[in-house]
Amino acid sequence: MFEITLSDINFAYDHNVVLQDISMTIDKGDFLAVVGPNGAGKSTMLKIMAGLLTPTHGQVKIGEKDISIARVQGLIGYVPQNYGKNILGFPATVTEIVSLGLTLGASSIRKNHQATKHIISHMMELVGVEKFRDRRIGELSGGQQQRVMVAMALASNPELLLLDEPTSGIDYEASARIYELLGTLNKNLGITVVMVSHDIDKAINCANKVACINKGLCFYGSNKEFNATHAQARHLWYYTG
Amino acid sequence: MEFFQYDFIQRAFLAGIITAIVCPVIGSFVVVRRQSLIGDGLGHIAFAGVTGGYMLGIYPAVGAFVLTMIGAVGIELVRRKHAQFADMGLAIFFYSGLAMAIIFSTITRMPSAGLLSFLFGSIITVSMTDISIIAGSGTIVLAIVYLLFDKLMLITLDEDIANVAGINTSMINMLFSILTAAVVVVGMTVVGVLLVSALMIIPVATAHLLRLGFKATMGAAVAFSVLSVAIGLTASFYLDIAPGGTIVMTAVLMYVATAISREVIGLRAKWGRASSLTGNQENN
Repeated sequence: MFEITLSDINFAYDHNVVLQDISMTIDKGDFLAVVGPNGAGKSTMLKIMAGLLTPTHGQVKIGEKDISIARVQGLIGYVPQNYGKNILGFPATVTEIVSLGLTLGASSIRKNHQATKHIISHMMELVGVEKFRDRRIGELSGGQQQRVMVAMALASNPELLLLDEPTSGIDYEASARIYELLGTLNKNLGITVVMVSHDIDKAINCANKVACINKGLCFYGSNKEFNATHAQARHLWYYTG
Repeated sequence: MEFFQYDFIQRAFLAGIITAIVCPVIGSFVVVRRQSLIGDGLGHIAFAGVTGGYMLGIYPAVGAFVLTMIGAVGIELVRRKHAQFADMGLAIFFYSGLAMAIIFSTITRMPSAGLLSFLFGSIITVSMTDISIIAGSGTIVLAIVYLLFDKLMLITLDEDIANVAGINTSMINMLFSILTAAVVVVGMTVVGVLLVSALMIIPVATAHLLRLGFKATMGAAVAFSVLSVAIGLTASFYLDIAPGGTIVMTAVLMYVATAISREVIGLRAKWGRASSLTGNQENN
């Protein structure tokens, strides 16, 4: 059992302040939607949580562990926004991509070939891509590719799944299926999910917590609280900063 | 196969096949990392090392090894700094290598025959010592790639995902760059820059046309590469042409033949679908 704590996070690119005084605690099993206008620092915050960027001030902890230790232990699954830059020409089948997920987590799994095959099949089944198992990932649609990337992240058996705009560039129906999948994974597997999204309405439907960011933290609370102050919050993150 | 009776042909086949196995394995990652010209870039730096070594009075291959390793580290550092312009760093080092080679060779008046053997290779003149060197270094390269295969593949797919998983991407990228340099410099001294760079890329490009998975693409690339060496060396013997050229041109012809076959198969499938559709409409 663990919680993710962001304490007084500040981040700046040179002198351009991107995040200011962000503090929050994400409980185990939460599904947090991080919303905010373009350039608000949502992706930067996710990268700090993933340990890809070091805050200019502040600290991220998973339970009692610093983020750098949690990374090494394979506790975090990460699906970046722009993974697609290499995907189109990448000569790998869906099975090969999902099995890469085992590189991310417990290496002991790899010693047992049968267990490895079972985990890969299970992950593909879980996200609904098992029928494409022998297809090259570049031949799939954007929504299907996103599912494959989620399956890869899940194969490492993470306790925290970080997703940066998982539905960007994906049509309406495929987006709805991705949100549904993430909701199911969160509820059934108990994985803590933090998802950056530009689609506030869909995101808050599947999340139980919402963080509204616009350099600083404009709102942090349950989606019910967010819905209650929806109009005010929407105004805040569209028109401030 | 009368020509197999000659010792020099047997040694050439052995050296060629070892090169043909190692180069596409490295090339499979190089192509997807969009660094297809790295063999050429490093080759030209090695070329500068050869001429520099000659100028300083040290064994040219040692000069090539030292300068190519420095170049490999430099290329990786520039790639890391400007990831979206990976080819830009290559170009800078490519031209620097060529310029240094020209300067050093002009200063020392190095004989052009020696330079040409490094550029186009002398696979026909390889000794058993040469074969031991490339077999030994090839085995080390293949063993490292085998051990790091999944990590290399993941880094090639997305460095951020690999970083979040706690993989030391900087170290592995640097190691890969050094491995590539080792393949180029060792291969260059035995079979020439042209052959090493070409076998790193062309068979991989041909295998990509088959639209297989990553491991299958690598396997197919090795098969195309070995075939190119076997056919190219045989053709070179009977046509009395330099083997480096015949091997590379065989690899190129395989690429062209595979590309045309793919197009023809695609067109036939399209026509098949169109005619069955027309037939169905007429029946209705």
